[in-house]
Amino acid sequence: MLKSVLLVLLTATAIAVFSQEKYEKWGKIPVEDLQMTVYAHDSAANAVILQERAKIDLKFFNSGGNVTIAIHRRIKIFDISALDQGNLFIPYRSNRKNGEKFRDLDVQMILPNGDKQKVKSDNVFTEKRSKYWSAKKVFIPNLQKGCIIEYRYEMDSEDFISLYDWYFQHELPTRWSELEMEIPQAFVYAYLFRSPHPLDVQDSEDFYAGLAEGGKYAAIRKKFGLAHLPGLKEDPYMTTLDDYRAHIGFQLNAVNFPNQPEKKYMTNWADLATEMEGFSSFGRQYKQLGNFSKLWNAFSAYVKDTPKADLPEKALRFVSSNIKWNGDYWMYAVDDLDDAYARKTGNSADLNLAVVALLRTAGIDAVPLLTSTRSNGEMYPEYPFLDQFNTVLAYVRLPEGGIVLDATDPFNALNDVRTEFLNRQGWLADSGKPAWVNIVAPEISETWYGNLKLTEDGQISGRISLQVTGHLATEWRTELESKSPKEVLKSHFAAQYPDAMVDSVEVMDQRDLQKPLKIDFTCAIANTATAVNEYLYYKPVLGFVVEENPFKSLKRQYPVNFPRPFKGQYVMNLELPAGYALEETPKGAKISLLNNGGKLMFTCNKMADNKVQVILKLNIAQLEFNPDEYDGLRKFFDLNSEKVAMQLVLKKG
Amino acid sequence: MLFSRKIYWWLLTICLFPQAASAQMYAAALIPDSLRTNANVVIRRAESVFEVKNTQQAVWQQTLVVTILKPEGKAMRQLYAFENEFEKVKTLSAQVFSAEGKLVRESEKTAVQNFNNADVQAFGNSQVKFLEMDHNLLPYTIEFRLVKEIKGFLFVPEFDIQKLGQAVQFATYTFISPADYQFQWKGINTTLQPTRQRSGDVITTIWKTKDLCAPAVEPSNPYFNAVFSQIIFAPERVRIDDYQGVMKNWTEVGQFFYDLNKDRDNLSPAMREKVQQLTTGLSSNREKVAVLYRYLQQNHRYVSIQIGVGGWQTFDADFVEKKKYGDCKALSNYMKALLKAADIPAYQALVYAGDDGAPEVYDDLPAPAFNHVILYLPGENSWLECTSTNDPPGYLGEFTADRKVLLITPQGGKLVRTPALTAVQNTQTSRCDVILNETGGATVHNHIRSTGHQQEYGRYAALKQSKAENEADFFKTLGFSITKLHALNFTASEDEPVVTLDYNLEASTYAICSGKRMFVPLTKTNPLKRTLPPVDHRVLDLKIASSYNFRDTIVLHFPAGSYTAESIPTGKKVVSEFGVFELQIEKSADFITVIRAVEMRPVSVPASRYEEVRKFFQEVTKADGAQMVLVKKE
Repeated sequence: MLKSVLLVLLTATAIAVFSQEKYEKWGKIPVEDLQMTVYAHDSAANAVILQERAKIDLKFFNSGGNVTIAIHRRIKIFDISALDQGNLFIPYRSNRKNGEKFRDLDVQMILPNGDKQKVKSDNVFTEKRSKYWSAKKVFIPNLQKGCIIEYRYEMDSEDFISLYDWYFQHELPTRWSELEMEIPQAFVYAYLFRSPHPLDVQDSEDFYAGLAEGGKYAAIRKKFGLAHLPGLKEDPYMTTLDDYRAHIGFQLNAVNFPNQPEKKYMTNWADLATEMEGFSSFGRQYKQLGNFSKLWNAFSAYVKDTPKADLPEKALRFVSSNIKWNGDYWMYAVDDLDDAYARKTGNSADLNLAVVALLRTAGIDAVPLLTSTRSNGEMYPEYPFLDQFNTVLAYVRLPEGGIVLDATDPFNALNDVRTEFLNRQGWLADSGKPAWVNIVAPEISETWYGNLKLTEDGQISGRISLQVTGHLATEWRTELESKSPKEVLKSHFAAQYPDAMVDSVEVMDQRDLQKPLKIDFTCAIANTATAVNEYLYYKPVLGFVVEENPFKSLKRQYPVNFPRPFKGQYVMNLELPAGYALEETPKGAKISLLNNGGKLMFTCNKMADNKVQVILKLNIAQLEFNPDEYDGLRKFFDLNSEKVAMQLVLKKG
Repeated sequence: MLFSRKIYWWLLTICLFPQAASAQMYAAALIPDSLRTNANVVIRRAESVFEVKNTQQAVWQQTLVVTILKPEGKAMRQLYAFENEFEKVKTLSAQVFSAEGKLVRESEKTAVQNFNNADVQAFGNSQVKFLEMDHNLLPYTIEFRLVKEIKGFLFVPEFDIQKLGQAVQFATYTFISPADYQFQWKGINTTLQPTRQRSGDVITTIWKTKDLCAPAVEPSNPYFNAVFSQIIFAPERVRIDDYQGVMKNWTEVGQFFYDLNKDRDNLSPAMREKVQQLTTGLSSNREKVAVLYRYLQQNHRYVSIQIGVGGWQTFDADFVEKKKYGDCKALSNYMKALLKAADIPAYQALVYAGDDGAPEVYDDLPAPAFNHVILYLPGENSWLECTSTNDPPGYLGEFTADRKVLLITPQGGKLVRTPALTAVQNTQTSRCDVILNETGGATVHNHIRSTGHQQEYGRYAALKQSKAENEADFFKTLGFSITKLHALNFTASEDEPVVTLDYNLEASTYAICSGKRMFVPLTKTNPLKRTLPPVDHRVLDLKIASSYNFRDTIVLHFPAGSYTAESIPTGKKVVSEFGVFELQIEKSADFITVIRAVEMRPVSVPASRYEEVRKFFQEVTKADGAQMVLVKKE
């Protein structure tokens, strides 16, 4: 499976897989690479990473460890369109606390004839990007097509808790990528590994390493290597590319220094929750009333006499309308919740921890729900560690099932969350009952119901009722906040029917977010049918939840991941012009995707009084489709587009 | 490729004032109804002071009080301030007031974000300070304060009085200068006059305005960056670093930039020798230019390193010769040096580059608003874009065409206009065969030849993108689903702005089948997409710069042996002063030939004619969307 995660225990026995690719030392370039003009595994590539290697060295230092990572990468340029590869950008942490020492940057260029040119320091610039990050920028001079670029550098840090992750795969195709590490056995890590195919090299060996001051200690040397990784590209409906990159990450489990008790780093979920509850920017925010007393006073006045069952929604409304989301997804409050309340803005933690705080104080069983945004990538429920999360929601535990609350959007209904939060699951940070829960957003739906009359000159008119639910309702409500209902409807019609006349608009439940949003309106559109001789051709579907096929590419490298289930329904009762009749009734159609992951249904029926009823229904219930299901999914949406574009043939009789 | 400096002046629509505001003053209810019409934001008070100490030193102070009424106005919740080695931000702070005018909060020091404006593949000494103030409810009011110290400047910040969608309650701009300091100014779309007073050796000039209604935000408006009215300035003497100059007119502005970059176009003897080698045997300058330009393109790359005198001084030709890279100044200077070695004179030209046009350059006010450099060859009367590795010689694209530029000659500056590409030069000619099958699918072969602006994407695809990227783009733009792509080939001519695209594919849903009928769109491979949205009362003039000619032949073959035509549209011709559209259809037994001829002209008309233009586009789109209906033989 593409996204499986394997736990490679440190004690695992060595597996060595034969591979024809191997790592070549700095400056040692095989003549075939000098002469290479095309990368055999991807002839369309304009450049290839011939090889790259990271070496992680962890040594005892002070009362902890010192980590050195040495990177060496070699890139072949086939075409002048890839000369930008000669502009290197190497970011590193430069803040004082967890900063890295960046050193020994070497860059050279090798011409096709084997001549080497060292890149001098006047082509290297250091830029402070922010408080926490700096970057080396290197502009390799004299770069030509056919050249090889090679660079290496080292970074030191005392942060042995979050070791460097290694990505074997990049936007450019990679011929060979490897990671080697030497670690004292006193440091015990869990290995999180993902790859599209098994490792080509995986070695592990125990040895004794020497201390500078004399003496020896038990250490372990490991090596991981992957060959021939394709270049990565974005596709519609996926989480982050990082979720699909071949990758190895580390999580510190424990440290066993000689003559000291074991120090646990990765403990268990309950201990982790206890730790979170003690943080001043997390647990203490919703557990200590002093941090949110102003917020609470205002809220308790707002919900006076409100039945308990209505409190979750009230808290959601109160927080989302009093504190505006500042666009940041984060899991820790900026300051105290009362500060966010005074500032009127905050990040996702300020808002959602405020919801937790208010509900708990009001006697509701509310807890924070930590998760990782879609662009931050997947989570590992097998491993209790915090840095897999980057944001937080609120969660109310009820006997009949939980309610997820997201106050970052003032129009979110209960259980609805911003799309970025829809990364399958989250973890309830509660020391009493820590648990993983699924985060599934309510279905999106768009329902059209119209009674329309078509005239001989191609004008349709009548009343349409449009109903939207889920996140689609959130979007409509957001639009309705700053524009009149008429303007909003007209803008929805603008692309296909710029001259649609909309009138007598009635909006129902605009403020009751728990209900579907319903808009009834009268609509008149001229020149919608084509008249030819005695025939009139008319396309009856005025709008649908999905019209164009979103899947244009012929093949798919990664699974399709829809954030939410969705549904569309279109029902039109059409009165034909006097003297016209349906020349041929279009055949109905009904198809389902495998396992009923999606359904499409179309019917067209003659009714009494010279009326025709057209019905189109689509629903997608399954959220993830594997690449081998992609073809079926494309055809499904092709058929949908075809039905949306379907035309009736009327004949004057 | 840009000197980003000038752009940030545009972003700086802000102001100063050290006068304490009484809270209720900022209540949104105090905005008169007359100022609410069309307004996304209301400038409650904008006070700017540019205080010149001498030709080199100045202080810029702004107070801007702005009420954001609608989400569309939220860009004004941000304030940017540009910094480099000559300009430093001393104060950047803000306060937020609720709709009732009550102080909600003040910005903390940490709220000011510092980001380097150089992107990942660029390096420069400049950066941007940035402050963003949000509030949970609209409307709300922000008071920004900005103070900058300047130790070398070539420009004076504009007084952007008003942009589209902005009403102005009160705004002033104060120019304080020593009595002997001279500057020029000009009002754009305004007749505002200043008052002037002298106190000792200091002259204070003040422009003051109030109660300006908001001009509506409308599509395709004639105002660059939506700046509706402004006052622009030009100092007569400047000094930056060790360079000083006089800038009373464009000749002198050009002279200043010439002197700043003088004697930087000398090649090494080896390189001069190389130029001789490359051009030997070529008889015409035109051929020599082509060869040298190609040498530049194939061996050098554009890298934005902006570190000379605020980004205004170029690297030596020698630098580019050794490194084989440079920014727009360095590459054009180097190209000039190559041409010099072949005895072909060339001048650098300062230009405001951008695909959406440029701010107006006024003959009578020498205020340079440029961000890019290109090269002009007087002998050939032609232009070279030296940062492009794919343009043919002499080609200026949408990025720089049709605008005033400043030629930098040894005799000083000269304003000239870059050539515009007309509809005759921006063409597309195609021959497309669509062979339909019984299920509505089709085999499609298309051969498209594009020129001028129409070929810019194709040239990029041919020379700068990988095959995979071209395919991904192609799928995105195609209006139907395909099952096989047999071929997709872009070919760019080396010498002319001409690109051909050939593709061959199997489409799964080209036509729509319904029972025994098949509905076949005529121009589905390349539908026309020029439209304007309906507007109730258009206020602004309408301006659409782009123009093009299409001539397409589309042959639609019926499914073999089984279908006849039930309805085939008759030809259609739509003629207007904005363009001509003609569809001719020739019927044959089992295919039809559609010949489409389109000429779209640039549009520049008063608001009253908006609807006329819209109707024309609409009529064309409708005619272009015509379909044929086939019916299965019984």
